[in-house]
Amino acid sequence: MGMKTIDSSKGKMRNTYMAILIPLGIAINFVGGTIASKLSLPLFLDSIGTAIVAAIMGPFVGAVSGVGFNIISSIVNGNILGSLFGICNIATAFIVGFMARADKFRTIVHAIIATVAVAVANALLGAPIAVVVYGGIQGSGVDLLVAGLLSFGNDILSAAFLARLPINLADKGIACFAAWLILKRLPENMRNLTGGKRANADA
Amino acid sequence: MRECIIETQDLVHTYPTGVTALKGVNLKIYKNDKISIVGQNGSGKTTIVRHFNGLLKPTSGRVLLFGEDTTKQKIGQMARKVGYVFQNPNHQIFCTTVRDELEAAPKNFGFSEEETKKAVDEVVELMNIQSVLNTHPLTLDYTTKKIVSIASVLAYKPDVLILDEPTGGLDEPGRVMLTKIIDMMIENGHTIIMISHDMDYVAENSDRIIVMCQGEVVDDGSPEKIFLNAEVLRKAQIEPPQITQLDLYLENGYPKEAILSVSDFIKKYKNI
Amino acid sequence: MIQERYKPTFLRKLYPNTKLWMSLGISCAVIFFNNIWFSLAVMILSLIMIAYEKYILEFKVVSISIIIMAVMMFAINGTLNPVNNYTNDPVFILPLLNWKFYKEGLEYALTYFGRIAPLMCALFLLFRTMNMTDLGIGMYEGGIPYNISFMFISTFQTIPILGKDMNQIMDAQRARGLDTEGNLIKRFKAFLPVMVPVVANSIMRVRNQAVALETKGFNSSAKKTVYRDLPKTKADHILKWSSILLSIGSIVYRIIQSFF
Repeated sequence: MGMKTIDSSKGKMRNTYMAILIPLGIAINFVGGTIASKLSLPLFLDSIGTAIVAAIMGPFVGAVSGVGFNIISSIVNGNILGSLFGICNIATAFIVGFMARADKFRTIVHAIIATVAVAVANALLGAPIAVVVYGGIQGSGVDLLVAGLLSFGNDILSAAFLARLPINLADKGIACFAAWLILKRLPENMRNLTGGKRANADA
Repeated sequence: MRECIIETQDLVHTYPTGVTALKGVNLKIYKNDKISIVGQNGSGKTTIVRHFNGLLKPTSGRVLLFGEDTTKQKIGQMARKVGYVFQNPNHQIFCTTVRDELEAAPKNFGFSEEETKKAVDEVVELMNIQSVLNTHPLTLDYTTKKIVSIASVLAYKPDVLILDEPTGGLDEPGRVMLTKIIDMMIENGHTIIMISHDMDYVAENSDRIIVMCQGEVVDDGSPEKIFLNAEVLRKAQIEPPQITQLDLYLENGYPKEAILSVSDFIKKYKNI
Repeated sequence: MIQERYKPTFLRKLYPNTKLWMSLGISCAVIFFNNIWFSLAVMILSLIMIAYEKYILEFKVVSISIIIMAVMMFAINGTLNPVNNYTNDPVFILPLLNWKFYKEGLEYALTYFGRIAPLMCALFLLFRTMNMTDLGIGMYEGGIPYNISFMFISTFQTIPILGKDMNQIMDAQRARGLDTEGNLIKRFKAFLPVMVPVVANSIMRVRNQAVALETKGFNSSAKKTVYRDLPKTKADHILKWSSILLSIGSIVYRIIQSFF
C-alpha cells in the first residue's frame, strides 16, 4: 500500500501541526492550572502544556506555545507585564525540547534530570522577573515568606528571590515530571507526531 | 412491596448558566428495576441521573439514595452504590493497560489486593476480554473500549448501574454482550437505569420506561403501555420502535398492547 | 473571558486593532511617565468606563486581586523594606498591631502599584470589549501572516473545548470513586486521572484536525477572503494615532528624564 503517512516533521504538514499544537499547548496549560485549583492543590501546574508540546514538536514550537500562554494569561488576569514570565516557559520548552529531540526524555532517569534542570532554571529566572514586574510583593501567599525574610534583614531583591525558589522549584519541577508521566500514559502512536528517529522508542 | 432505593421529591435543578433542566420531578426507583429514561436532548435525562450518584445536587427539592439525603453523603460513598458508565469511554480511560483500568475503581473504593484481583477476574471472564488485558485501552476499537469502560464500573459491583447511551457506536456482538450483562445484573438483584435514544433496544430491554420532556416526567410505565400513548410520544418527540409502528399501522388504530420486538410480531401475525 | 455581542457601545464598536494600539499607548504612558497623578487619572477613568459598559460584576474578581495586592504591597514594603529610613519618624503607626509605616517603603510600593493597578483596570476594559475572532481578523488584515492569526483565534476556541472535556472527565472519574476532596495526598493523586484523559483526548483529535485543515486549504498560498465586516471609523484613526504618539512621547519623556 503506497499511502504516505502524515509526517509532521517536514514542510507544510509541519505548519499545520504547529497551528494545532501551539494553541493546544496553551489550552493544556490553562487546563492544568484549572484542575490544580479545582483540586485545591498549592501549585499552579500551568506549564504542563509547554513541556508536552516541546516534547512532541521540539523546543522552538514549545517555546512559542509557552510564551503565548503567558501573554494570554497575563491579559486575562489583567497584568500585561506578567508576559515577562514567558522567559521561564521558554526555559522549560528548551530544556524539555532539546532533551526530547536527543531522545533523552524517555526513561525515569531522563525525567528526573529534566525536572531538576527545569526547576532550577525557572527558579533562577522567575524570581528576578517577579521583582522587576512587581517590586517583590505580588499579592499572593509567597509574599508572607518574603516579609519574613525581609524582617531578617535581607534586601527586597534577595528576599523575593529566596522566597520564590522553593515554590518555583516545586511547581515547575512537578509540572515537568507530570508532563513526562502523561506522555508515558499515551499509546506509542500518539507520542510521535514528528515521526523520525523516535518512532522506534520503547513504549 | 419492593424496596424504593432512589427517590426524588420535587426535584428542581438550575445550572449556573441559568437553564432550569429539571422543573420539579417526583420519581421513585425500586430495587431490581430495569428502567430506560428517554426523551429529547435537553429534556433533563442526564441531569436527573447525575443526582443519583451525587454528581449534581438539587437546587431545590430532595434526592434520597437508599433513604438518605444525597446532600448529606459524599460522592465517593454514593458512587460505590451507584455506578455510572459515561457515554464516551475516552473520558474515563487513564491507564496504560486494560487490567490497570479495571483495577482502578475497586482500588479507589478500598478493595484489598485479593478482592481486586478476584473482582477483575470475574468481570474479565464475564465480558470475555482476556485477550486485551495487556493492551493500551486507547488503542482499542470503539466497541471494545466501551466494553472495557462498562467492565471497569461493573468490577466493583454497584447496586445500581446507570448506563448513558450504552448502545451508541456498539456493533452487534457488543449489543448482545450488553444485553447479557443487563440480564445477569437483574438476575442478581441489581438495578439498571439506561439513558438511550435507541428505541428498538429500549423496547426489548426495559421493564419500565420514563419519558421526559423539557425537565418534566410526562409518562412512566411499561413499554407495552408507553408506546401506545401517541400524544405523549409526540409531545416528547419520541418515535416508537419501527416494528411497533408497523404493528400500529396494520392494526389501524390502537391494539391492546404494543408489539415490542420482531419475534413478538412474527408470533402475532404468523397465525393470521 | 471573552466579550459577548451585547448592544454595541462606543468601545465595542471600535476596530479591534485600535484597541490594541490603545493598550500599547496607555501601557507605555503609565509605565514611562511613572507619575502617580497620571496613573490615578487612568484608573479612575477606567473604573468609570467599566461601570458605564456594565462590566462591574466581572470586574469584581480583578478588583479583589487589586485590593489584596495593594494591602500586601503597602503593608509589607511600608514596614519592612530595608529602603525605609528607620531613623526618621514613621508616617503612621497601625493602632493595635503597632506596625510602623515608613515613607520610603510606601513610596516604593506606590511606584509599583501605580504601574500595575491602572493597567489592570484599563486593559481589563479594553480586552473584555474585544471579540477574539474579530481581533484575529484584525491582525490578519493588519498584515500578520494567516498562520499566526489562525493560531490566535484557535487558542480561544480550544480552551473552552478542553475545559468542557475536563469537567466531563472529572465527573466520570469521581463517579468511579476518585477522591477529589480528601487530604492533600489524595488530591495530588487525583491530578493524573483527570489530566491524562484530557491530554489523550485532545491529542487523539490532532491527527484528524490536521487532515481537516489540509482539506480546507490551510496551507494554500492564495490570499484568504475575510467574511466578517469590521468597519473602521474616524474615531479609530484618531485613537490609533494618538496612541502611537502617546507611546513614542512617553518613551522620549523617559529618556530625557534619565538625563537629569
